[in-house]
Amino acid sequence: MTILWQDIRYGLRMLGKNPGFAVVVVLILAVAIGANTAVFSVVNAVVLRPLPYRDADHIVTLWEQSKWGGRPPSHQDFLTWYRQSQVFEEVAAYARQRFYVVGIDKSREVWANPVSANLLPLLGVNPLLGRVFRPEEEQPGNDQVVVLSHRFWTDRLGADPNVLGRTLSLTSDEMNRDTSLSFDRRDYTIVGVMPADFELPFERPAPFWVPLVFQRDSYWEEGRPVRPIARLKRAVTLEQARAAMAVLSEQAKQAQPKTRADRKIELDRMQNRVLAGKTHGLLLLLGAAGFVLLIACGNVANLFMTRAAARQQELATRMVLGASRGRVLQQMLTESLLLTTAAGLAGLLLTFLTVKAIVGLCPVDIPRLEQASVDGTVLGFTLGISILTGLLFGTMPAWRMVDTRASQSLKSGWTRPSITRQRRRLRGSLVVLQIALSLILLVGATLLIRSLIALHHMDLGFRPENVLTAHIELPVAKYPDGKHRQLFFDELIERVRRLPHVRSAALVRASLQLGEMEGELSFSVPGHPVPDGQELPMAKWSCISPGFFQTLGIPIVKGRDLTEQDHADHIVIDETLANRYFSDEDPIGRVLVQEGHELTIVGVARTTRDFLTPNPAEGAIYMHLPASLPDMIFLVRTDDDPIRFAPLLRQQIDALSQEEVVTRMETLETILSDTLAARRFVMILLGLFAGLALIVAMIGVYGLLQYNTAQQTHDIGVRMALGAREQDILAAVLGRGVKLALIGIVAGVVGAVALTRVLSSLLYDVTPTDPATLTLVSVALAVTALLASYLPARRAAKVDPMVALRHE
Amino acid sequence: MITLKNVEKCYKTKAGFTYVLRQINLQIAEGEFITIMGPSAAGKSTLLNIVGMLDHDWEGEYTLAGQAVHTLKPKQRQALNRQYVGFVFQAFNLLDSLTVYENLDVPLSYRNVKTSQRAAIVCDTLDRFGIVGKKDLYPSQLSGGQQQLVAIARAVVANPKLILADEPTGNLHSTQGREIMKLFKKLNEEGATIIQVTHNEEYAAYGRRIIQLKDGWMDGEITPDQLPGKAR
Repeated sequence: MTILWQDIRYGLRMLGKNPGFAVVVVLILAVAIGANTAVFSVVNAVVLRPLPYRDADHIVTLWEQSKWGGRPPSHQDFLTWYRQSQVFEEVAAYARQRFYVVGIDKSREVWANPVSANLLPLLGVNPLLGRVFRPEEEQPGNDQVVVLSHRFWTDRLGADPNVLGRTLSLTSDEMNRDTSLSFDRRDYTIVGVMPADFELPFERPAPFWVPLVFQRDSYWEEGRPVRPIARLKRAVTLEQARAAMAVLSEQAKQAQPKTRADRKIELDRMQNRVLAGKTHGLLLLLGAAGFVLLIACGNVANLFMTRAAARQQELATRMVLGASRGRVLQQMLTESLLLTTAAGLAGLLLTFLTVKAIVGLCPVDIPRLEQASVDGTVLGFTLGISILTGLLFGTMPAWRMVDTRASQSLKSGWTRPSITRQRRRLRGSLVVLQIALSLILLVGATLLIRSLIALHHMDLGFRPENVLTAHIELPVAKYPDGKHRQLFFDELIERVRRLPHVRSAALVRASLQLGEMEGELSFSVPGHPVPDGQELPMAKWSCISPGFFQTLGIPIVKGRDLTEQDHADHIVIDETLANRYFSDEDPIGRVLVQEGHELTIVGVARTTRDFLTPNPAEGAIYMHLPASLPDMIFLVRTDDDPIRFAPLLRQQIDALSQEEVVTRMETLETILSDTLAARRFVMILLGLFAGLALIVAMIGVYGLLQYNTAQQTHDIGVRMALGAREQDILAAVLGRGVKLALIGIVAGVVGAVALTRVLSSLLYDVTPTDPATLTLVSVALAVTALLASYLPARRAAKVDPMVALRHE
Repeated sequence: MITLKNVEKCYKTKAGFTYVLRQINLQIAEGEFITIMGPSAAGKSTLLNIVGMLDHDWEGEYTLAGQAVHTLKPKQRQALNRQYVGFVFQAFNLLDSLTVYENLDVPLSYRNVKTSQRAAIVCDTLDRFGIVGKKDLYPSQLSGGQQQLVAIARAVVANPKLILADEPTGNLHSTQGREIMKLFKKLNEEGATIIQVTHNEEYAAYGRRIIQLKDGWMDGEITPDQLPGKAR
């Protein structure tokens, strides 16, 4: 114990003697531990942790795939699969429906989920109170029962323990294309409350669930679209299930060759689908953090080896004075442990901060992100790796020396530690590795930056500046039908248009997330027959008010804008659609046929693009529908900063409605900028990691050359005695740094060409192997390496040969 | 070839100025073989470093081959060093990371000799010193005597007119020491001016004149016959 205490005291004194070394090692290791643990903790929460359902591995989700993409099947198709498939223990489904809760608080639109009676048992989730749905409750007339979410129960009903049996009044917009929408109010009996953490996959947290009832209507001839979920039978693999569904697809195709020729049934594990497209950035960052860890370990290894080699004679002297091999190793081990423990503690602190920062920076649509917390296993892993690096490289040189070379070291290296060429090569290789990995990260970050710049300069086809948007939701209790709502919106538009600084104002239906219009509809074009078995073409569509194009700054390139006099059968199409079907003729006056209705084209608008779909393949159809729905987006173009106009607009709306109906108000530029959040998030973190990697790698270059210079002071003196000039020495040291950098750059470029492909989906207007980026980063890295080499080189060139020759 | 007039060197310490060389006056003709002797800290190596123009911090007048070194700037002195001087050290000071061949190539590379010429000169020197077979070995793979042989070969590879040897046999046993001294004698006979520093009277006797230093002062000048042991 006394010896250990003595070692600790001595170790602390040694670290105090060389605080620069201690600080650099602690910082480098802490950064590596912090970055890795934080990113992995997020990835673990989002990607790796199984979904919170019983045997989540066996739950799959099904959908229909056609050349237009994946989509939910109709309720009719779902029932067919349910009856015919042999590979599932159970097949359940749910849909999505808009409801208005009447009588509690203000009536607001909410999205809730009708679910098949077997869905909740399939997921293996039991209610907190009451029961889930019974099969007979899927029958029309028996379906007025509701299961509440925990949040709705606590927030809206005060967590009433006697809630079961109470009723909830709901209305729903039974969406059809009629202009006067009415809402039937129905009373639903509360039969259950679900636990706090229950959510349906793919869905935003719903306030309640109702039974899924099969109903055909004029709009949904085969029933509404549903999202099927199935549990695989125990012995059935995913591939077997896919094969079975392929047989069903084939049978459906033969039964209905006209409509189903290019449709097939697909399935995948639910976890994969939940995360599809949302984890790419996180996994990329995990790889980047791994690179930072590798670079840090390489650097720490170099630092420890350097330090241990510099202390070779001290250790040799200890051995000559009688220290055993174990005793010397213990001393080295104690010092390394002191250092790595300090680094571990700093890393832990950094991890807590970094997890919070990453969760804060992360785009909000990543599922389960809020559950991310410091993961003990990961922390242990990165701590272990880092400490092991320190221990291994801190003690290895001592081990080797005490093993074979103690006496030799004293004899030949008493006055000057001799570095073997192998060790020098090993150190050089570690620096090369660091440079190569840094280059890969820098190339990745630069590609993302260039993409973001290109996106910011992208011609959107509209002018987002000076446009304010307000999401308005009218309470159905006060505005029970379309007429009342239309009156409100018409009056509002009139009032706002008269305000100073307002250029124009308009309404657009639904959530104005750019790139996401009202939905898609299929249509046919007379004169353009669709071959048998192929699906009708699809286009995005949006309901707008007159003034929409002017407000958004979308030019009408042919024909005219929609006016108040136009009804739903008059449409404006975009140039993409016009060029596809009417490239040789004037589209004005031509018709598109949709569900038997003829839609006459009165104008062609410029194609708009956004950051999510920079190259839209589908065309767009705009139609004028009266503002009869409770929720609309109000758009105002001002001649000044639109944010300054926001209080005035809110005042007008509140005055007209007599209550607060604006749920969100933001500029169009903000909305657009938010669509870049995912790219920006990856770019910021990747840039951060690349920057860290560069700094650590350059510390590596500097440290290596500095050490070499210190070790070779005597040799430098000899060279000067043999006639070397300052510039010869300068060139020699710089040359060594540049040589390492060039080898690292070449290796890094090869690595970058191989690895940056994983960035493809995040890039715009730049290829993963963009020569300009590779060149730019390589040159920047070479210059940085040159700068990192300059100080040691300068010091070497200033060596006084007299002093150097005495430095033996 | 060499004229030193009142050459002095001192260090500033807390206690004042400490002189390591005082009023050195010396003339060395071309082709001479001079030995500098004296006890430790007499200033022998310092004098050699001044003559070799590695040390610029001294006072007095120093003329080498007609050039007044004391009037030259450090860079000009370095240039003169490259033109005239070859060094041999007690600790050999071969560059560990270079092979024998590369060690011989180093002085030529600093004198801007063309690569093709350098190869010819190095090969010629290797041959002259009988170390062709060792050209690809590293210094650590050679014996002490062989290392000093290579060090001398390196000192003469650029054909210097002046060879400065600081205790060249200090790390060698007597047989190796004698071989090295015979080599110096041969080089001297071929025309090189040699100044060596040694403690060994036997090797000192290879010089035609022996300069004795003590506490930085010139303590006298003798011939080999006047050496106490008269070893030769």
